Amino acid sequence: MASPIKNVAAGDEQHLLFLFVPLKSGKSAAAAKEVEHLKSTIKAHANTVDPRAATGVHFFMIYHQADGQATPGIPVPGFQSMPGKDVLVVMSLYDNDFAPYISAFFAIQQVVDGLNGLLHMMDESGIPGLDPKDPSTAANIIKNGGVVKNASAFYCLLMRYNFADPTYPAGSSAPGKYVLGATFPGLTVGKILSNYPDAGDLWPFPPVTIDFQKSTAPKCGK
Amino acid sequence: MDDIQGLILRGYNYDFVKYIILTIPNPDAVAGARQFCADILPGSHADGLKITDATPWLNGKPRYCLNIGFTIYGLNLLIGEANCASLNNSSNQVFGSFSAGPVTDSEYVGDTGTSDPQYWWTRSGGWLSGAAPAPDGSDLHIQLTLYTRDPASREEYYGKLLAMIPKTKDGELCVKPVFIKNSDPVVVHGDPTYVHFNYKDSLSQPRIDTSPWNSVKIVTGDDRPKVPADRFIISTEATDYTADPFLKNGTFAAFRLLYQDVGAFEDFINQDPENVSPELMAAKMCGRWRDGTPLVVSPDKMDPSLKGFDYTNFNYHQRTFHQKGDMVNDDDGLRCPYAAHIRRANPRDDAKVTFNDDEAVKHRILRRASPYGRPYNEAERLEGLEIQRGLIGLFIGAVLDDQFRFIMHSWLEHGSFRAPDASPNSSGVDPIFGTQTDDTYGPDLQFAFAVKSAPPREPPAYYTAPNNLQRFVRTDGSLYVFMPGITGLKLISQGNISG
Repeated sequence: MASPIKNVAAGDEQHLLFLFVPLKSGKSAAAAKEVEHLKSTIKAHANTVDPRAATGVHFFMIYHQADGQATPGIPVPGFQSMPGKDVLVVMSLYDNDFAPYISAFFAIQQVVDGLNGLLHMMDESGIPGLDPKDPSTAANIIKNGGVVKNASAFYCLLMRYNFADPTYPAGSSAPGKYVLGATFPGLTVGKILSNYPDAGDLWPFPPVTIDFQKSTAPKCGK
Repeated sequence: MDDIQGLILRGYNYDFVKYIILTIPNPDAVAGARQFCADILPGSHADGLKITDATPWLNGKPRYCLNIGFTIYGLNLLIGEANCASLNNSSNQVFGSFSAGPVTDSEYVGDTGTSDPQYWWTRSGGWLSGAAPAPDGSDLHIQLTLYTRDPASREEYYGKLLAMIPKTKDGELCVKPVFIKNSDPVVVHGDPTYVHFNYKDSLSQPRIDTSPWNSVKIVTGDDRPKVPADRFIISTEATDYTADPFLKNGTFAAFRLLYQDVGAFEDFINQDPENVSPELMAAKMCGRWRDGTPLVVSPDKMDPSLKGFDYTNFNYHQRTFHQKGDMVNDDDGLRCPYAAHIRRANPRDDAKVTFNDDEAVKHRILRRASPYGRPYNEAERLEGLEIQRGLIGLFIGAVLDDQFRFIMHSWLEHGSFRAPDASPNSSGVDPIFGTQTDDTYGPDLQFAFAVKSAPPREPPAYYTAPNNLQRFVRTDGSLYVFMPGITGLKLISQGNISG
C-alpha cells in the first residue's frame, strides 16, 4: 500500500529556470527564430533521441523583447532589457540539478549547433562585474570551441542570467528567493513516462499535432 | 608513450608505496623547485630518482616507480599565475575545477561534517610541518608517489629522493615534505590486494583503448568496454574539451586521504544476523562478496573459482561474452542493489541510471590507491584505541567534472540517480561511504535492498536495515593535481607553458 510522499531526492526535485539573456541589439527576432529551429530539431531527431526523461522539462516559455521596448499587453514595464541590448527571456520547470538538465540537450548535435549560434547573438559588453577574460563569457566559449567543449563554463554563463535558484525545489515550504508551488513534488517527467498507463501512446514522441479547444479569457473593461 | 606518466596507463602492483606532499616554502625556493623537477625528468643526468613514464617494461619491473602531480598553488608558483589564468581560460573544461581546488569543492563532492577541509591532513598522522595546514590548501604544492617492492627499499629510495632536493642560499630545502603516508598491503588469506573493510580491491579498472601495454602482452577474455584514451590522457583533439598543448599527455586527478571506520562498518553489517548474515549485508552494500565475487555472477555465495577478468566481465542487463554464472537480467536489483557501491560507481549497461547512455564510459576513473594503517583488530576497540587506517591515492580522469566530481556528486551522493527505482529511499547514498555526519535527509540514513516477494511474480519487496547508516569513510585530505606529461614537466621545470 502506498504512503504519502514525505521525501523527495535531489534528482526528483523540480526547479525553475528563468533566464534574461542579453542579446545584441536587433537580434531578438533572430534568436527567437533560432529557438524555434531548436524545437523543430529536437522533434526531427525523435526517432533516435527522446530527450524528455533526460531533460525533465515540464513546461517552457521563451520570449524575446527588443531593446527599449516595454512588454506589450500590460500597462506596466514587464520584462526589461539592459539598455542597448535585446533580451531573450527563457522560463522552464525542469527535474534534477541544473547541470544535468542543460547537458541533456547536448545529445543532439543540431541542438548544440543552435546553442552555439545563440552565443554568437549575445552581447555581454558592459555587464556589471563580468571580466572579459572570464572563461564563461559567450565570446570565450565560442573562442574555445563551443558549449560542449566548455560545458561547465556554459552552465556558469546561464547561471549568470538566471533569476531562479536551482537549489530551491518546487513545492518546498522552506523560505526561498520566491514562492514556487508544485502540485506533485517529486513526480518527474521520467516517472510520468514510466508509470502513467499508456504514456508512450498518449504522448508519443515526436508529438502528434494536437487540436486544442479554444480557451476563454475573462471579459474585462470595455 | 615516453611522454606519459606510467601510472596513468597501468597499475604498477607494488605492495609498498609512499605518498608524499611537498611545499615550496618561499619565493626564493621556486628556482630550486624547478631544478628538482628538471632533475627527476626521465633522461636527466642528475643523480637520483626519475619519473616513471609509460614505456612498456620489456625487462621486467623496475626497482621503483615515481610519479608526480602539481596543485594549482604549486603551478602558480612554478609557471606563474598569468600562465595558470591563461590555461584556465583556454582549457576551462579540464582546468576549471582543478583550478578551483578541493576545498571550495568540498560540499559538491560530499566533504562536509567530519570530512570538512578544516580537519584535513593532521588527523590521520603524517603531517610533518610544525605549522597548521593552510585552510585553503595553498601550502600544498607537489604530490609524489613512490612505489617499491619492500619497506627497506621504500626508505632507501625516499632518502635518495630527499637528497636530490636543492637548497636555498639559507640552507632550506626548496621543496619540503609536509605530509607523508606509507601504504602497506592488507593481506587476507595470503592475498595482498584487500582493503580495510576486508574486500578484495581494484578488480574493475577501466580498459583504456589503445594502451601500449596491449602491444606487449596479448590480452584475451576481457569484456570491458574500451574507454577512449582521451578520458585519461589529455588530448588536444578531444571532442568534448579544449586543451592547451601544455596539458597534452598529462591528466588530472583527485588525491584522496580516506579514513575507514572499520569498527562502525563491522557493527553495521552485524546488526541483524538473524535476517541478514554479516557477509550478505557486506555484499549487498558493495555489490560484491568480500572475495570480489560479483553479486550478479553469484548472488548466494562467494565463488572461489573466479579468476582474472571473471571479476569484471559482467553486466546488469545483458550478459557479457565471457560472463560466468547463471546470468539473469538484474533490472529489479534483486541480485545487486542499485544502491551498491560498484553499481553506483560503474552502472555498466544499466541505461536507466541517469546519464549512463554509454556503459559509463564517459565517467570512468582510474584508481591508483592503496591502504594505509594496520589491519583492524576487534581488541583495539576494547582498549579504546583509535587507529588511523584507510585508503590513500589518486583517482584519475582527464575531466574532473565528468569523472571524479560527477561520480562523487551525481552517482554516489545523490538519491534517485536511477529511474525507475522503487526502493523506499530512492537508493539513498553509497552505503560503503555512508552518510555525511551533517546529512539530515532521512532517506540518506537508510540502507535498503530488494528481496524476493512472497508471491514470486510480484514486484520485489525491500529489506531495510534496522540501524541507520553512519559515515564509514571520512575524508582526511584531498588535493586536485595536474599530472603533466614528460614534456609538460620539462616546461614546468623551465617555469613556462610553451617551449
